[in-house]
Amino acid sequence: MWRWIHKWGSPKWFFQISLPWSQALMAIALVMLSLGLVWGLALAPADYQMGQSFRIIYVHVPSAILAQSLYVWVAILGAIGLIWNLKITHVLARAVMPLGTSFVFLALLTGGLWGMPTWGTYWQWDARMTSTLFLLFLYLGLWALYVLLPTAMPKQSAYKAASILALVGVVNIPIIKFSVEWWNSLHQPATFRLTEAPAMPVAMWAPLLLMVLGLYALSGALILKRARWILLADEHKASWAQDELSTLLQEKN
Amino acid sequence: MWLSLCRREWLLSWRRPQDFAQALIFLVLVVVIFPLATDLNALAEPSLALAILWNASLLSLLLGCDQLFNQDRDDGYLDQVRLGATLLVVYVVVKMVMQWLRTGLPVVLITPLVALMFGLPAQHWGLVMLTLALGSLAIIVLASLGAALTLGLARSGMLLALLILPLLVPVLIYGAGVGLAALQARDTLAPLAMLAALVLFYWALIPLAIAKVLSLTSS
Repeated sequence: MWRWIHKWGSPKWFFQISLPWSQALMAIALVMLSLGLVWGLALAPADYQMGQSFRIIYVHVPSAILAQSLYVWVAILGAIGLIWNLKITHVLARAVMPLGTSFVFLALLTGGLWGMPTWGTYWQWDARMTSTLFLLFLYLGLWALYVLLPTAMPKQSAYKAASILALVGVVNIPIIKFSVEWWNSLHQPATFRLTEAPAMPVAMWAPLLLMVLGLYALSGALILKRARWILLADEHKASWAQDELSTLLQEKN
Repeated sequence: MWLSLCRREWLLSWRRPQDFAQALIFLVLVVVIFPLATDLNALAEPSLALAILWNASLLSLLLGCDQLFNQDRDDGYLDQVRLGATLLVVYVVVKMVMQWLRTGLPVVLITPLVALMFGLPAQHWGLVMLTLALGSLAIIVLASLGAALTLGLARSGMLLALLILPLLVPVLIYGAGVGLAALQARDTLAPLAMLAALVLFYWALIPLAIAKVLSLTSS
């Protein structure tokens, strides 16, 4: 098993192993997301307080969870890359950036849209919303660093420097997660806890769980796909990459 | 070793007095243009004074650290440090301490003047100066991290602000929060303790990160 995990670290093996994984994850994601969306948006019972507008929870909460998870994942990748000097971690981190940024943006947007009918305001400067906004800036800054630094110095040094910033910024994630408990907040507390059942009925939180898991699967699939292309671009001079590229060109023609 | 590094920094600072002057004048200018953009006396409001003072100090300190390591990289001193003339962490800490003396301390000392402009009651000046002293220490550490990350890039000032401002939010919230609590006659010890904790945390760990980043970005 360790050998198999170790194989993921090699660019050539990563390219080969990640193809079936990304396809499987995409299939799982499509099934879960379509189930979750249909169930949540159409079939789940309406909330007695918020009415139909609560259904945006099925987009808002999963994207918020994913945005934070992906940032922690980038920080972990950075740590692994710094400690064990694996190039593939930086490829994966760069693959995450557009997706993570989109998820934060989606969470903020859907949160604002939900806030208008529910609280009467699109925005408030409370702990969770502000720290999620700063998560967006963290993503953008990190993305800028991953793109700009390689222009000024050797690539691997650039990626390592960017990972250090990712590690310093990961402190923000616990603040977001626990902000609704530490400070009085307009934003409601967490729906899912590890230790007790949610306060919502099953018919409501089951599609939410489906959406969260489906979105995790979708992220995995998209990140692997993007990482494959980044890897091909980085390593295009290697012989295995040349073989893969010629195979791809042949399939196109 | 510390002393010789400090002496070198001190001499270099005196040969470039514009560093110190620019940060201070920038701060006062930014503070002054706020009332100009609105009803001139509507801003004689203490809590607004705190916000403007803190944000202007934040920006002035951030941008002042922009080229912190550039001169040493250009004249080859950074390479000498990396080759083992001294520990990179020691060099980083000395740079940060001297930068605080150059830019942070003047910001603290000019606070009464700004407070006067905005009608901040004199009994709070001491506390606000203390929070600015602590806050500027934290800001300098994180700004140095930004300077190290953007060392090789041209026009790095804005990128530095983009990278480091999100990390500085807790410092801002707690630092200005102390002054706000004093104005509203609430407990000031809690946010002050958090601010001090943040400063200690950053000074303990981030110089190591800066040293690592410098070894990567100055190659």
